[in-house]
Amino acid sequence: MIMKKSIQEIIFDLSNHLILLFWAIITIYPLLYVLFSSVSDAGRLMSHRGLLLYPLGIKFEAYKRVFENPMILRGYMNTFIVVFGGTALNLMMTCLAAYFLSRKNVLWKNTVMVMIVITMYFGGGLIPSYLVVTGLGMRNSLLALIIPGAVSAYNIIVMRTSFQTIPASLEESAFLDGASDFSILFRIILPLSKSMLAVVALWYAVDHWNAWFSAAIYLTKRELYPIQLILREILIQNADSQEIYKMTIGAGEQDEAQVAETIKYAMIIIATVPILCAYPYLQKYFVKGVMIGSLKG
Amino acid sequence: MSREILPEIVPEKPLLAIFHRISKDFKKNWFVYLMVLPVVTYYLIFYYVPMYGIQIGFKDFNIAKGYSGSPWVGLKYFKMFFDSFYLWRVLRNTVLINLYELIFSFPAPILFALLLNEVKNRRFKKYVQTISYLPHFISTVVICGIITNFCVSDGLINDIISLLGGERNSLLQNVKYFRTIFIASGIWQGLGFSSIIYFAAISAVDQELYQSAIIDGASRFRQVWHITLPSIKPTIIILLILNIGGFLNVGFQKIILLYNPATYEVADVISSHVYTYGLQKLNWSYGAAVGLFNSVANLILLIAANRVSKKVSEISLW
Amino acid sequence: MKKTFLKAACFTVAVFILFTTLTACTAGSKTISTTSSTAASSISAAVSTTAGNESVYPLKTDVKLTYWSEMNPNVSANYKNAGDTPFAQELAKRTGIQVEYIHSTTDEAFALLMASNDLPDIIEFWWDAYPGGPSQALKDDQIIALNDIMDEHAPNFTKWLKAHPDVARQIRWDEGYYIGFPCVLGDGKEVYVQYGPQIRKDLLDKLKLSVPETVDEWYSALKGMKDLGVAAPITANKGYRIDFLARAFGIVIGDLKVGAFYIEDGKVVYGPMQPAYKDYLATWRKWYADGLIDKDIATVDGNIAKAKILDGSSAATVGTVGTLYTYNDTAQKNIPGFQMVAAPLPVLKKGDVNKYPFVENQYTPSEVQAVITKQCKHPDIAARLLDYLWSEEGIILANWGIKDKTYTVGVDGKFKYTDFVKNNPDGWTVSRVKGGYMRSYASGPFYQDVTIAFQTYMIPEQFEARDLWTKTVSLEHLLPPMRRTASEDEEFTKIINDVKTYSEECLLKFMMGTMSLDEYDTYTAQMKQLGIDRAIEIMQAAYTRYLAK
Repeated sequence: MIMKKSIQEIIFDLSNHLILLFWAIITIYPLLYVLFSSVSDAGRLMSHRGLLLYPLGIKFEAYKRVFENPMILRGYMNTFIVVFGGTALNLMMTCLAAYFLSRKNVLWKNTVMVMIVITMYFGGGLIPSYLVVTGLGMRNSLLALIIPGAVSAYNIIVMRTSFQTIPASLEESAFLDGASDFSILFRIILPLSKSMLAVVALWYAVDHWNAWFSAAIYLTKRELYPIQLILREILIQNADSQEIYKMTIGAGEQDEAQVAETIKYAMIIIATVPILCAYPYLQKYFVKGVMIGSLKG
Repeated sequence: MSREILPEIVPEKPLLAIFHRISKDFKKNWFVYLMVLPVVTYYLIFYYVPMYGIQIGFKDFNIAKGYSGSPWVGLKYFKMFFDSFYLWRVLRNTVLINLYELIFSFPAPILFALLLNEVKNRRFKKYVQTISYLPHFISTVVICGIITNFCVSDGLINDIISLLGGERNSLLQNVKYFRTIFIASGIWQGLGFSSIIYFAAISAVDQELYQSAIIDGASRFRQVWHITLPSIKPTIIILLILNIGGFLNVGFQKIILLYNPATYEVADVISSHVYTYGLQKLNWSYGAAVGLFNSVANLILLIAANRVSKKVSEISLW
Repeated sequence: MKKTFLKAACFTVAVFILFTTLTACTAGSKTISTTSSTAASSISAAVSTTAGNESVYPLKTDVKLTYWSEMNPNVSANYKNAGDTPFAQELAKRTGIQVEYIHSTTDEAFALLMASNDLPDIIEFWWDAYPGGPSQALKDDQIIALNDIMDEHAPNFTKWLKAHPDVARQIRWDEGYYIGFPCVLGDGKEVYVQYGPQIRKDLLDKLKLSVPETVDEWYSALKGMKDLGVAAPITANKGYRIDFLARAFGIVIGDLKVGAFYIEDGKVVYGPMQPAYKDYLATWRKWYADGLIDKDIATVDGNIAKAKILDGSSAATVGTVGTLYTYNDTAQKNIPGFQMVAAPLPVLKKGDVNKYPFVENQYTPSEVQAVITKQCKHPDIAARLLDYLWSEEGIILANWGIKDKTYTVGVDGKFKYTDFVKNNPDGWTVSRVKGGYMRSYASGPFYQDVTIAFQTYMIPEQFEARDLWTKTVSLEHLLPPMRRTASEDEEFTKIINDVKTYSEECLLKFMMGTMSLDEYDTYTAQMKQLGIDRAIEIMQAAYTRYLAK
């Protein structure tokens, strides 16, 4: 049926598009700024204030400096392992917990929920956690980046909310047909929660991608370093040494301070592009119409 | 003589009744409990076992002696925090910033998701959405550098102001504008990424509801008001509760990068205040004490929000 | 048939090789453990017979020490482990001591290390991070003091301390012990002053003014530049170090915490509480009102400040010798004739000498130290290793590197870095070369030779800056590195934090005129209420203790 648009609707659509376009323009600026800065000439960049709408003399010095570090490729590999392995584990655990918490008539449901929420507010701190993780023998293993962060309370709660919106009638009829909890979870609930799964997967993946602190304290073998840790080192390597090492009689570092800025930007691009590429794959789950025709009877 | 075959109904002792309830529940739900066992175990091992570390706020931490060996000092560090001349200012700023964020930064992603949802052109939608979450991945340091650049007297924003006939002003040195800049830039950076979950929630709404509404002649606005919003209400409310449960948290990094003595009055928050103590890098007792205070206050707010929500909307955490 | 035979043969050979290497390893370690004790005793025997003779290197020992330190990015750029660097290998060769380097990359790693109770032999770190400081670590029996083994096993360091009693006093703890090998800046005035005021000479020439020396001359110079079109004559990174003007009045502002305390007439004072502070504020206010100070002074960050200098919006700032080169080199393209030179710290009366320069002490307690832990089984050998860097050859190795590879000695006896350092053929930056061949790329437990800085000066302005800023350096007001006790420190921290916040706010308000100078008394009254007098008392007590050492 073709809808005739009222004048109101046309005006709304027009202004909506304009607002969103405006938003897109002002929001893409930071990325463009970083991108242009990363290929700009360091000296010219330093003298520049205000809006940066194009790169100031294309120079790839910054990228060269970053990539000449032999550990870059290794870093990517390690991060990929952690992202994929970690996210897989995360999703599994999150779904199990969310399923549990979304059931009705389960006696200990609220207790578990409270137990989980409390961990969002209280924790033992660095040393006790460190002792537990190393006590389990995870030192110098990528497992230390995957298992201690196996699940996030916030994400469980969000997932639970999504599970709760699935009509009970679906589950009941499946239950009456003799389905077990597992098949209810896998055949009914998960397929209908694809979009939420995608979001939570994205959240976990981004967190894994950005993580460096756990790696810094649990890994002493540099071959295991994730990309963020390596990039962080490179950034410090090129920062204004005077600020970091007060007593360094470091007049020789003056040329490096200039390049440091551009390296900082190159780093952001290098660290961010992969994760940006992941999003379009997940976008298709946000398309409408996931639950077509399931609500019959 | 025939005796009554029916058993006598004896009222159970309360303890026994509880025990019966528990075992009945176990018999029925044992599999579900099994399913959640890994998660519970995980939390026990990685959160509850190390939980003894929480006492560090009450002790004069000595690394060599560890937690049990360090001397107990009770509320010393809490007092240190509460004795600060700027305590009330810092608390007030923290709460106010969170309040403004609640009013502006919380609904913004929802509105954005709804508006973008109305766009029919798939490609436009996709591009705008992707672009919108890009700033989230740019580090805070860079974003604050851009903000500072825009806000100086001869920066972009002042250029626009003077074009519109206004007077140039060093924006970040003005107490009137700090919170606005802080929150607006937060929306700028975070809107896209925060809206993803609302997109997901919207996409899960049953299409048939829309179709029947259209047949009934509902306008697009009414569709949104009566179908979309109610469908994503649970998501919104849960996120709202969690947001309130974080009311004493304002990250120190962005504050420190943007504030200066001219705006301490409105910008200094709990985290930045503690940070500037510039303690020996590892004096944790003080930071832990303040953190504990933060957590307790936040938890109280969370419980209150949860209760209110339960009564008003039947949606709650527990 | 043949294939399987071949496979079996290979397999057997492989197993055989594996077996022999394993046994060789274990056999080797067996010999280490049996000879270590004899090695140690033979060395102590050797030392006691050749008392004070430093040519005891290379030691004949099989002991392997474990050395924990933060991995410096300049090293990690090219080497996986500090032990791979030519410096470490040279050090091992010369001392005869094998070292296994263990690295951390975060500050928290130090706490975790200490909490693990599995300590390496030597730990090099900023020991102030230990709760209670290094003296607490000593009390906790985690580390050892050097006093007992210094004379015998660290003769170079001991000799150096005897030759520098003032610095020795700074390093020595109030209770009289030495903990760890410190980081010390070299002798020579040049090391003290590394930054100062800088101003555009080409604009001064246009105004027919000379480089300003007095406060009034600064005023005229900046005013003149403003009239020439410079919008924000003087600027700096978030107002950083712009307290150079205060120093003309005899006020030190620094970081408004410990940095604002100094000595006046033998007593410890706090800059913003001195009477002359009011006069400074009045002048500062006038400068701001007349538009001489950047209107955005409080928010301008490092990048913006640099950009302002480079595009001509500003003409003066406070910076390091290094930035002098950066400015002059980069701005040439935009502004022909651009010339940034160093200016002396201003004074009130022409001809006076500013007695409050931007100086640092040769030794700062909060710097890195290399400390020998209690768990070290061979403290004497550890001391020998660390002591080497205090011998004549060791100092040269740490600062200059390897002869003819990274430095040469001219006929006049002057040391110079080679082109390998300054224009590395592989494109390595200066710091990275240093990272591989020396230790002078960062602070460390050794004596830093001042003159290495001048090796990388590129333009005459830098040499002139150095000479100008160090010409009349006086240390009479500088606060020595004192130590507060733990309880004093707690009280002090509480007070000084609020004092700093309040002072910062008022300083800015006075400058911008939001707070009128008529309210100055409310300012001082409030400061007293915040406890500034008690803070001064605490510092005074520490100072008295220091003098009594």
